Amino acid sequence: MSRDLRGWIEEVELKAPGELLRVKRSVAPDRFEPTALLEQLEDRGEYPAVLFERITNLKGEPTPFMALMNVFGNPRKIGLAMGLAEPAGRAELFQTYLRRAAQPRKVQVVAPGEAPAKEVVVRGRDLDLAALPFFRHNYMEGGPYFTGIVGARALDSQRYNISWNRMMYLDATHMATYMSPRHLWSHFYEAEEQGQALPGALVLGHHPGFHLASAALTTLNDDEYEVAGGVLGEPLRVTPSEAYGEALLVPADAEVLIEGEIVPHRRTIEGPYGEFTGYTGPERLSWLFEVKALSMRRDAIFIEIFGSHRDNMAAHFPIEAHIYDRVRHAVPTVKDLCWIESGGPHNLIISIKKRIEGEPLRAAMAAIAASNFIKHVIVVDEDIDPGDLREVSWALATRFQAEDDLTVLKGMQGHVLDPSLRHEIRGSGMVLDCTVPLDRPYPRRARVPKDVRERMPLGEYLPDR
Amino acid sequence: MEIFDATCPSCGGGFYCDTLLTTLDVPLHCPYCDSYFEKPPGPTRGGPRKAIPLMGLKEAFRREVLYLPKPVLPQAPAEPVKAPATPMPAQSGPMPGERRPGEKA
Repeated sequence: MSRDLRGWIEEVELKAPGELLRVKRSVAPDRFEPTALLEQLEDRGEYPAVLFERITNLKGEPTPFMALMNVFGNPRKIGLAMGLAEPAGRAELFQTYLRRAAQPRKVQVVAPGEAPAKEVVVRGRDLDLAALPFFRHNYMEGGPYFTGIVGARALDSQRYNISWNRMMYLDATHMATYMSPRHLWSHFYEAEEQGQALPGALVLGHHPGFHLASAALTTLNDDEYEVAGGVLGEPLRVTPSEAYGEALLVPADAEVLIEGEIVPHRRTIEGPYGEFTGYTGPERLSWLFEVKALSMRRDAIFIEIFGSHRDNMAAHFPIEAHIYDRVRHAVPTVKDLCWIESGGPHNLIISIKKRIEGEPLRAAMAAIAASNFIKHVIVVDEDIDPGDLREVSWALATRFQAEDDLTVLKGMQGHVLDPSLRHEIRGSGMVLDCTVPLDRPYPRRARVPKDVRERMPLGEYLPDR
Repeated sequence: MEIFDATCPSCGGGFYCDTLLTTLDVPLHCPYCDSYFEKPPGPTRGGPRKAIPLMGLKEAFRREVLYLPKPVLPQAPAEPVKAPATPMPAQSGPMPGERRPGEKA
């Protein structure tokens, strides 16, 4: 049986009880009700996935659908998305993801009749997006949203791109979408130059491994359907789309597919929207997505991200893993790094076994080059856990002199969603080298002699401990 | 990215927008009552944009490029109403009077 969301839910409930909760009472996603519950859990430091079993649509009507949120809320579920039965540390998660992403698998094309995503097909005048359970997540959002995966093929190649994109409901057949200047933006830019629309399908619910792969840092030569197959550990099953046939293959095991196209030479108004930065981003000029067909399972389960909250940031895990990979290519003695748990969406902390001066800056530059999510890099020695912000702060306080160890980078391409940017995309960054200098004596970290600690087990002197 | 504060003339709700919108011939959309309204005239920093590379716009923005959802159409500027003392209540749901899609105003 191929990997899909239903199988994953069963697996989680079996292997990791407590990581997935069910809400049986009816909730209205467009009236903030699911996120009101998730935010209360988050305030208590709890991040279970939550399956909302009864949800209403935009007309306030009951639906046969369910919604799953907080799928990526903690490292345990990132591991479960990759099929890891036991909890894993950051390094193991990185290695597992990178190993799989490096083994792309060709897609398996199946006939529409074999595609669960085609149980229900709606086209033409029957299309009415208001029949779907759109979400409002945070106060002030400009409209109800879906935040899912857009699968699109570059017009002049067979490459498929998959990426997280938000879609704001406009009317029965239109949504507004915002694109950061990355691959989907590039593919659309090329299509628009030729006066053409860019066909794509919004995937709302698949195996979480598919969703994870959508945040992969690939090149424009990599087919991301194939990368998703690598992450899933089996070929991604695809099928011809309703609206574009074989010109647009869509994931056959998805829960919901909204097919359509990004319209050339049209723009619309979108937002405000709660973004991964933790802020509600402003109302903006955005792109227009025109819906051509809808297909889904009869009782579809929608995966929705909790924008601006931990689920949103944690879904970027593959980017963190790829940065780890590229930084280690530049400086092999990099031990660990921490982005998602660093508390800042543009801050990265790298730990390194420094051999020569200059390596910290080299490692930091590799990270900044790898992703424009990264603006500030703190480099610490290997004795500091980059995921322990108290330790990192201690290193900053005691191993760093701004005059010598701070490098300010001006004129960098920033991230369009960074609220601190004054320019629309250009900004600045910095590297803080908090490593101990090698070229002069430096005080040692104050610790009790190791051999004395070892011969004095705590339990022998303090039996209650 | 810099923002400017806006107040909906229909419901008095406060929100904010990308300053790029001040340089374009576009209405603003109220997140609370779903109405579109024209910006009040005022100076814009730097004047109209000739191109917006980030948005893939290689020439000056024209109104006909803009899509507004059906059945909402561009409206004449509404008579300003006084904003309530607390235009942004705690996050407890949509603003009073918010219209769901498909519902008549």
